[in-house]
Amino acid sequence: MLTERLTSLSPPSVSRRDMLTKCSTGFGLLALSGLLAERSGADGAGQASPFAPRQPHFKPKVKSVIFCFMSGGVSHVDTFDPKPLLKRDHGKPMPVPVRPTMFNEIGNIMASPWEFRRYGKSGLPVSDLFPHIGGCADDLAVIRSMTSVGNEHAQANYFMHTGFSLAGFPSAGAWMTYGLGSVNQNLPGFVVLASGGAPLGGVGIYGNGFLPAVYQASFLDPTQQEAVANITPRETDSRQRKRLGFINRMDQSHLTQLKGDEQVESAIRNYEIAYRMQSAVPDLVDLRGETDATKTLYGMDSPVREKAEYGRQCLLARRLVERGVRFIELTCLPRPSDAGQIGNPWDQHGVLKAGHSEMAFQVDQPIAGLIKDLKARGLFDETLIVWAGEFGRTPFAQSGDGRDHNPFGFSVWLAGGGIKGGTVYGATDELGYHAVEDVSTVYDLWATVQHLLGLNHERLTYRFGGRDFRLTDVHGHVLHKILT
Amino acid sequence: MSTLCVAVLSLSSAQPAPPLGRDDFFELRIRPVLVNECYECHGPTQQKGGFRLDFRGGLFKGGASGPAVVAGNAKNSLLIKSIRHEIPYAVMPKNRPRLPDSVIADFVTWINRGANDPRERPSVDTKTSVGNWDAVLQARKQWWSFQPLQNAIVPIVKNKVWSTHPVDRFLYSAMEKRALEPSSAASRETLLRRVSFLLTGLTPTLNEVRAFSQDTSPNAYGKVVDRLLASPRFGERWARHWMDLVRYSESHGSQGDPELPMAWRYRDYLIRAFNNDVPYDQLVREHIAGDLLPNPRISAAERLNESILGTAHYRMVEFGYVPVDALDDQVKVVDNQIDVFSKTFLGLTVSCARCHNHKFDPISQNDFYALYGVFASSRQGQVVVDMPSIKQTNRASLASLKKEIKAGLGHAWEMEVESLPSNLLNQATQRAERERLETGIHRLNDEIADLEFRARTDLSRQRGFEFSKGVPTPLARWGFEGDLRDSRGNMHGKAHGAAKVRGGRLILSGKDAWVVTEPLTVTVREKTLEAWVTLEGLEQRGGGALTLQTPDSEVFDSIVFGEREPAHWVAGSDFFRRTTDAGGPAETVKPGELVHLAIVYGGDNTITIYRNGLVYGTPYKQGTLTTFAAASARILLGKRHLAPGVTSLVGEVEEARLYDRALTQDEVLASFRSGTVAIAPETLSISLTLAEREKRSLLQRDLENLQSLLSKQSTLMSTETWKSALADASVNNANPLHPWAKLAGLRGDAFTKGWNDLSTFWQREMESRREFNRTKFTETWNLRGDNAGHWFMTGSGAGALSGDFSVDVTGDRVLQGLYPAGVFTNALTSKQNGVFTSPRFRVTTDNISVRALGDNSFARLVVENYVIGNGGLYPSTGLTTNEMKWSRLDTAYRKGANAYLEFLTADDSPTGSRSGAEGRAYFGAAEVVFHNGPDVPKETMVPAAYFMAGQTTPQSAEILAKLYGERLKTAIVHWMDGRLTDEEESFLDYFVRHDLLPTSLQHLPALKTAVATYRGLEAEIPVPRRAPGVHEAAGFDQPVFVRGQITQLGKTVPRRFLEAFGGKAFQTTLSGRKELANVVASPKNPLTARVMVNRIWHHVFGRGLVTTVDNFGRLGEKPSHPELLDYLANRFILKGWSIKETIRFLVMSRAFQQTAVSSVSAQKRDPANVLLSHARVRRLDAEVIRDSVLAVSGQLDLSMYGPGVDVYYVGKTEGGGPKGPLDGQRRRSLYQRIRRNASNPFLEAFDAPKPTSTRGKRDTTNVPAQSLTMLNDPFVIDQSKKWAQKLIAEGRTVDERIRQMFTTAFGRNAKADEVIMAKQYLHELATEHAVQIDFLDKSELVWQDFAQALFCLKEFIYVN
Repeated sequence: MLTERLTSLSPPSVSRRDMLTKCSTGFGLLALSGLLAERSGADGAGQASPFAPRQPHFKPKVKSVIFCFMSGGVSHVDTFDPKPLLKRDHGKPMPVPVRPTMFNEIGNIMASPWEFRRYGKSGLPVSDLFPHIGGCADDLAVIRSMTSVGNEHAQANYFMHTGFSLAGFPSAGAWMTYGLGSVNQNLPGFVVLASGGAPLGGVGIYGNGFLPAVYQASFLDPTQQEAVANITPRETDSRQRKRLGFINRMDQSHLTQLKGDEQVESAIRNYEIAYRMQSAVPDLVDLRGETDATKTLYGMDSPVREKAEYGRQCLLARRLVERGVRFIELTCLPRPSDAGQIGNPWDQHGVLKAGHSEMAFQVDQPIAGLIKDLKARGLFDETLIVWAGEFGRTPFAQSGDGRDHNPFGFSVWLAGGGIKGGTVYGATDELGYHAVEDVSTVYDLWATVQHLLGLNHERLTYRFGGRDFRLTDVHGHVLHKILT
Repeated sequence: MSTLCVAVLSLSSAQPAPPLGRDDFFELRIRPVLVNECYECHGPTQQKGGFRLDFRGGLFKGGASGPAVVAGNAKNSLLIKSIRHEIPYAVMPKNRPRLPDSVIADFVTWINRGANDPRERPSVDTKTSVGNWDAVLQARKQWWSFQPLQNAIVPIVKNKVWSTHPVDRFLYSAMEKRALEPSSAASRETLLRRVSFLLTGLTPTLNEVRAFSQDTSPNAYGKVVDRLLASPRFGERWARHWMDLVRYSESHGSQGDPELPMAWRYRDYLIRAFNNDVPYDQLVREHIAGDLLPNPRISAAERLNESILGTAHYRMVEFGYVPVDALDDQVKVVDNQIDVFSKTFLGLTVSCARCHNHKFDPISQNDFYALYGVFASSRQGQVVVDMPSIKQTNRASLASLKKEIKAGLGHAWEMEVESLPSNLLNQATQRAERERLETGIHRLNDEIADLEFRARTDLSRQRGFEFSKGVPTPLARWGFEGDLRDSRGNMHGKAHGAAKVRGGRLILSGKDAWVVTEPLTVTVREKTLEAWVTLEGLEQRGGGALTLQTPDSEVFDSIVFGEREPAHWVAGSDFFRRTTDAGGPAETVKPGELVHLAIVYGGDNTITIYRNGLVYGTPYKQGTLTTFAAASARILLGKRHLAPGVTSLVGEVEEARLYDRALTQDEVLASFRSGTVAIAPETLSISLTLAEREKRSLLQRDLENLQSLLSKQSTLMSTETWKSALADASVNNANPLHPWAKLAGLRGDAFTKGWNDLSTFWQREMESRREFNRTKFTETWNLRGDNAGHWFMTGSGAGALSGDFSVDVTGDRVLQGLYPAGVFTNALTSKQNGVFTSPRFRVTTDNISVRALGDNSFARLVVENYVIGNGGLYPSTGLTTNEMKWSRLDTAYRKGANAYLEFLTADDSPTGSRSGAEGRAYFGAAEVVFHNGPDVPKETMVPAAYFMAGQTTPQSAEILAKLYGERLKTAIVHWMDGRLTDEEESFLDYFVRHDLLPTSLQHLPALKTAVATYRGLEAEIPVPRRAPGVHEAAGFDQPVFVRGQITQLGKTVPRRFLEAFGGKAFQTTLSGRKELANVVASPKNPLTARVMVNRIWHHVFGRGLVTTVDNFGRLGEKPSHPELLDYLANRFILKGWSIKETIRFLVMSRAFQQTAVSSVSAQKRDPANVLLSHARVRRLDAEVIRDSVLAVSGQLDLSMYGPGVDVYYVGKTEGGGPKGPLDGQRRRSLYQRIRRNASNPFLEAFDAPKPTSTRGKRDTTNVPAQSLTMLNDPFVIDQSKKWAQKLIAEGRTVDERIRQMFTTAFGRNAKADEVIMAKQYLHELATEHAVQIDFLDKSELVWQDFAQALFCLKEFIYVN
C-alpha cells in the first residue's frame, strides 16, 4: 500500500528519484489497474488498463513514432519535388484550369527560388532549403503524391491528424496509444512537445475524440515554468508525502466503509502515479546529462532561439523514445521575423523566399541531428519519423512572391525502421499542381504508419455513436513500395 | 456482464411469432437479414470464401467449407453454426454484432421447415438494392425501441414489505428472479448528500445537514426533495445535463474560433425551463421549431419569448474557416445538426445514413436527406428574443406622430415653394445683402473683443495667485483672456487659420484652426494635460483639445475627441503607441456647455483619463512614456498633431493647463472643482473704464441690429446651402438646378437653344441608359413597395411607397431626405432590427448588384448557408449611405453554388454585433440585378432629366423659375397624397436633402412639439435582445448525395420524418420544422418519451435502463427492465411530460434510498449492479467538483445568468484569447465560457465533454491529470487558502474545526478515529511549517494544507 511505503520512507531527505527507483518493483502492476476507466459495455470495456502494453496484430517494425508536423503547409515544389518547368515558364499564366483557392489571387507560374541537388547514393533531390536533411537522403522515403481534402488550415490540420476534417475525432497519436498501450507507465503514451504554437483549429487536433480521455495528448512545453501542467509540487517533498499519507489513510477508511469499490480504489492508486510523474517529467526535461557534442548535433547551440528550441524538441523526442513513449509530435516555432504568425508559420502567401528560409533553417539541422543521433544509439530502426505539413503550395504565385494552399499534390517523407531509404514514391504533374502517379492519401500515410507499428489499420476500430470508426475512415492502403 | 444482460432481456423481449406462410416467412424474416447482413461480402460484388448466398443455388452450394444449409437440419447447417458463433474462423456476420437470438431462432425455424427460398437467380444490384430496402425496413422496424409503448403492469412481488413504490416493485421483481435482495436504507447523511448533488449539483450546507438530521417528521426526506426541486440550483444542474446533449458552445471552432454571439441566452433559457418544469414535449417543440409556435411561451419576468430561444442549438455547429468549398462545409454542418437532433430526441444515429442506408437500423439514406432538406432550409442567424409586444413599443403612436410631422412638412414646403420663383430670380441680390450683414457682424465682434482686451489681461494677471489654494500649480496656463499668452511661463501661443480669441475663450472654427506655442522651458516626461472645452457637435472626429508634440509632429500626446470611436475621448499618440480605448462612455455634453478633461501620464507608464474630475473608463498601460525635450516640444491646441489632413476640434477652449508631473486623482478633482479662472461678465464690466463701457454698448447695439436684419433674411434663399447647391448645379448636369444654373443668365434665342440642347441631351442620355440597363442586366428582384413577396423579413422591416422617410432622432434636422419605394427597416426607428433574405437560387452570373441604402448594415451573398462568411470568398458589401445606390457583389467565384442574398443590420449578424450600445442600424433595399460585366446599372432617377422631360420649352428665366415652382408643388402634393413616383421622389428629394426646402426645426417651429414627442417615444424603444436561432424561409428538397459524394446528385427526397414512422412528405412550403416538431413531440412517438425517461433514470441511478442513452438502435444496449421503461414513459406522458415530477417519483423510491454497500450475493450474481440491488458509487461531474470546491471554501457566488466568464488557463490555446480570473469570478462552472478551441483545463481533466456531438453519458476516466489537479492546481490551492482564512476568522477549537470541516466537505459528522488521524496530520503539518502547537489554530499555512488534503480525498469527488 502507498501508505506504508510513504511512511516507511525516512529520513525525508530521500529524493524523488531515489524513491522512484526503490518503489519501481511492483509499481507496474499498480499502475495498470490504477488507470482503469469506467467504460460502458457498448463502448467495449474489458481491458485491464488503457495504458497496458497491448499485443499488436503482427510483428511490428517500430515501437515509436515521431511526427514532425510542419504547420502552415510546406511548398513541395521548393523542397522535395523539383519542377524544372516552373523555371522555364516562370511568369507565364497557368496552362491548366486553376481550382478555387483560399484567397482567389491567382498569379502566374513562379519558379522556385532554390536550387535542387542530388544527395547520397540514391541521388534523391532535395532543395537548398534542407542541406542537413539532404545529407540523410538515403534514409528518406519521399511520397511526392500526397493529397488532402482540406484547403483551409484548421480543417486540413484536423484531416491530417485524425482522418476527418472536423473536430471530435481521435488524433493519430491517440489511436496508436489506444492500439498499443504504452511501455512507460510514468509518462503519457502520446506527448506533444508544445514549445511551438498550437496549429490553427486549436489543440483539438491532438485530442482523443471519442476515445477515452486517457489517450489524448499530454502537452510538454520545456519553455514553460512547468513542462506539464500542474506537474510541479506546490510544497516540499516531505510535506507532500505527509499529505499523501494522510489522504491514503483516510481513503482506505472510506473504502472500508464502502466495502470496496473498484472506481474509488483505482482513484486512490492514481495518486501514486501522479506522484511519480512529478519526478519522471523533470527527469525527462533535465538535459544536464547530455554532452555538448549531442546538443550541437541538434543545433541547440544556435544563437537563433527558434532553431535551438526546435533542437531541444528533437532531443526530447529521442529521450521520450528511449523511455518508451509511443507517439511524439513536434511543433514548429514562429518565424523570428513574424512572431505573430504562431499557428501556421510555414504559411507563406507572400514573401515565400524569406519565410521558407527561416522555417527550414529552424528545423533542418535539428531533424537531421535527430536522425543521426537515433542511428548512433541504435534507435533508428525501431523509430519512425514522419515529416509532413497539412498541404502543399501552388506552383503559381500569390501576391507576387507567395504561394497559396495546394491540397491536390504535395510531398511528405518517412524515415526509420522498415522504411526503404532513398526512395521517391508517386509524382505530381509537370507543374507540381496535382498528384498524378501513385496518388496517395492521408489515409494511406496512416495505414502505413500503423502497419509499421504492427497494426492492421482496418482492424483498429472503436465503436462510437453506432459506428465502428478507424483512423483511416473507410479508406487507406499500406504503401508497400516504400517499405523494406 | 453482457451474458447476464442477455439472459435478463430474453425474459422480456421475445415476441410471439405470428403464423406466417412459407414465402412470407422467408420474405419477412430471412431475406432482409441476408440482404442486410450478408450480401456485402457474399453477394454480387464479393464472394468471400467462394460463397455467394444471394440466390438459392449459391446458398445451398456453399463455399470453400462446404454447403451452408442442410434443408430440414438446422443443427448441422454451417450457416447456423456460424451465426451462433460456434465456428471460430467463421464468426458471422463478420465485424458486426451477433444477431439477436430471435433472428437466429428464425433461421433455425426456416431451415428446419425446409429452407424454402424463392430466389432463383443471383441479384444484379451491386449494393443493397432499392427493391429490397422495403423488406429490410419492415424487418428492422421490429426492433424493440420502434414498438409502441407497452401498457406495462406493475408486477406483484412476494416481498411487499420492502416497498409499494411501482419502481421498486419492477426492480424487485427482477431481483427476485436472480434471488437478490435490495440493500438496506442509506444513512440520512449519505442520502442528503446524494440527493443534493443529484438535484442541485451542490453539496448540502452545514445548516441543511443539521436541519435534516433534526427533522423527525415521517416525510422529512420528501420535504428535502421538494426543497431541492424548488431551488434555482436545480435548473442550473439539469441545464448542464442538457447542454451535453446539444454540444453547447459559444464559438464555432476551426481557425480563429469565431464567437457565437449571445449563446449564453440559450443557457439561461435552459435554466429557467428546468426550474419552471416546462413540459418536455414543449421543450422538444421549442428546440425544433420554437420560432414557429403559434403561441410562444412568454416569460413575463424577463419579457422574453422563451420558445424561440430553444432553436439556438441549431447554431452550435463547427464551421470551417472561409471554406473554398462551401457545400462541403454545409454538409458537415447539417450532418452534425441531424446527428444531434436524432440522438438527443430519438436516441437514433441518423447521420450514419449520409452515404448509404443505415447498416443496422431502419433508417434509409433517403431519411437522412429528408431531414437534410428540413435543416438546410432553415437559415442560421441572430433572432430577436424579446416578447412580441416589446417590438410594438410606441409604434402606433410613432406612426400617427409621423403622419402629423409629414403633414406639417408638406404644409411648410408648400408655403416655401410659393415664393420660390421670385426668390430664384432674386437670389443674386439677396446673397450680396446677406454677405454684407455677416461681414458687419464679424467686424463688430472683433471690435468689442479689442475693447475688452486691456481689462481682461489686467484681470487675468491679478488672478495668477489663485493656484495656491489646494489647487495644483501648472507649468503653463492659457486663460485666453484677450490673447494667447501663457499666464505662468513663456509658452505663449500663436493663432493659425481661423483660430481666434474672443470673450475669454479660444474659438476653434474647425476650418483648419489651431494654435501652437513657444517651446517648453523644461524637459517633461511625467505630465498632465488639462483643458476645459465646449464641443460644437458630437459627430466630429479626431480633433485635439490639447497636445504636447515634438517640433516635427512625429511624437505626441494629446487629449483627442472621437478619433477611434465616435464621441469617445482617448489619449491620442503617435501611431496609437500610448493609446488604448479606455472604455469610457460616449460624450453627451450639450453645445456650449463646458466639459473638463485631464490626462495624467504616470511614471509607471499608467495613463489615466479624467472627465469632469472622475476617472474616464479604465486607467491602462500601453507603451512607455515619452520624454519631451526642453526648447523643442510645443503645445498645440485644436489639432491632435500637425500633419496634413488632420482634423481640428470644432468648439471653444475656455482654459488649458500643462503640468510637468502626474497629478493625483484628488488634485485633478480639486482642479476641476475650483474651475477655470474665467472672468465673469460682471467683473469685466466693472473693470472697463466708463469711456470703454460706453463705446462697448454702442458697438453692441449695432451688433444686435445687424443680427436682427440677418435673421429676417429669407431662410430659404440666402443660406450657404443654396450657394453650394447652385455652385454644384453649374458643374453637375444631373442636379435639378442645372438648367437654371446654365440658362438663368441667357435671353431669347440663346435661352431657347440652351434649353433644347439640354433637353435633347437628357432624352438621348436616358434612352441610352435604359438600353444599357436592359441589355446588360437581368432584373431579378424588384423589391419596390409590396413586390418583395418571395423574400423573408424578420424584424421591423416593411415595404414602403415612394417618398417615405425616417424622422431624425437627434439634432436640428427633422429628416435627412426622402426614400424611393423599397423595403426599409427604419420607417419608425433605427433601433429595431431587420434581416431580409431572398429565396434560395443558383448563382449563374459573375456579379450581383443591389440598389440599397443603410447604416451599420450590409448586403451579402450567403453561399450554401455558410453564414459566418463576410467578405473575401463570401461576397458582402457594407451599407453606409442614406441614399440609394448600387453596390456590386463579385460572385464569379461562387458560380454554380446555391445561395441566398441577405440584407441585415449589424447586430443581427451571426458573426456578432458591430453597432454601439444604442444598437442603431438600418437598411433599405429596392432592386437586385444579376450581371456578368463589371459595371453596375446606370442611374435612371436623374432629377434634372425628370425636370426637363415632357416640358414645352420655357421662353425665359422667369418662366423657368415658375416651372420650378410648379413642378415642386406638384411633387409635394403627390407626396402628401401618397401618389409620388420614384422620378418625382428623386426630384423632390434633392431639395429636401440639400435643405433647400425647410428641414430644420429652426425653420419649422410648428413641428417642434411633434418632433420632440416623437423623439421621446422613440427613445423609449428598447434595443432588441438577440440570441442565436434560425430564420424560416422557403423550404427546398435535397437530392441524395450518392455514396455521400457531394458532386453526385441522386433522387430528390421530399422533406419528411423517418420512413420507419410513415415518412409522409410534409405538406408545407416552409422548412418543415413545425411538422417535424409535431411528430417528434408526440405521445405516439415511442422513442421520445422512452429516451427522455431513460436519460432521467441515467442521472438518478447512474446508469440508464438502456445504458447507451444516445443510441436506442441495434448497436445500442437493450433495456435491462423494458416494462419499467415503458411504464415510466407512459407515466411521463400522463403526468404532462413533467421532468420534475418524474425525478421526484424516482428519488422517492426505496431503490434510490438504498446504501451503496453491496451484498456478497450481489457481487457474485450481479457484479455490474444491473438490477440495482444497491446504490452506485459515482464520481462527481467536473462542474460539480469545481462548484463544490468553491462552495466548501465559502467562496461560491450564486449569481445567476448572463454572459459567460472567461476561462482561466495556463499554457496554450489557439491565438490566446481572453484569460479569465483564477477563481472564475467564483461563479458556478456552468457560467464559464465554452470555446471550442480553448477548453477549460480544470473541467477537461474531469471529463467535461468537448462540444462536438451529443454526449448523454459522460466518460468518467481516472487519469493522473486529475490527481495532479487536486494536488497542484493553483485554483485548488487558492481555494484551500480562502477556506483556511475563513476558518481561522471564525475561531473554534481544533477539534470543533475539524468536525465542521468534515461536515462542510462531506455532509457528515467526522468519526472519532478520523478526528484522531486529522489531528495527527495537523501536528505533522505544524512541524513542517515550524508552528508551535499552541498556535496551531492560528496558522493559515497549516490549515490551508489540511483543507487541501480534504479536497484530495476520494470521498470529496465521489458520492455514494
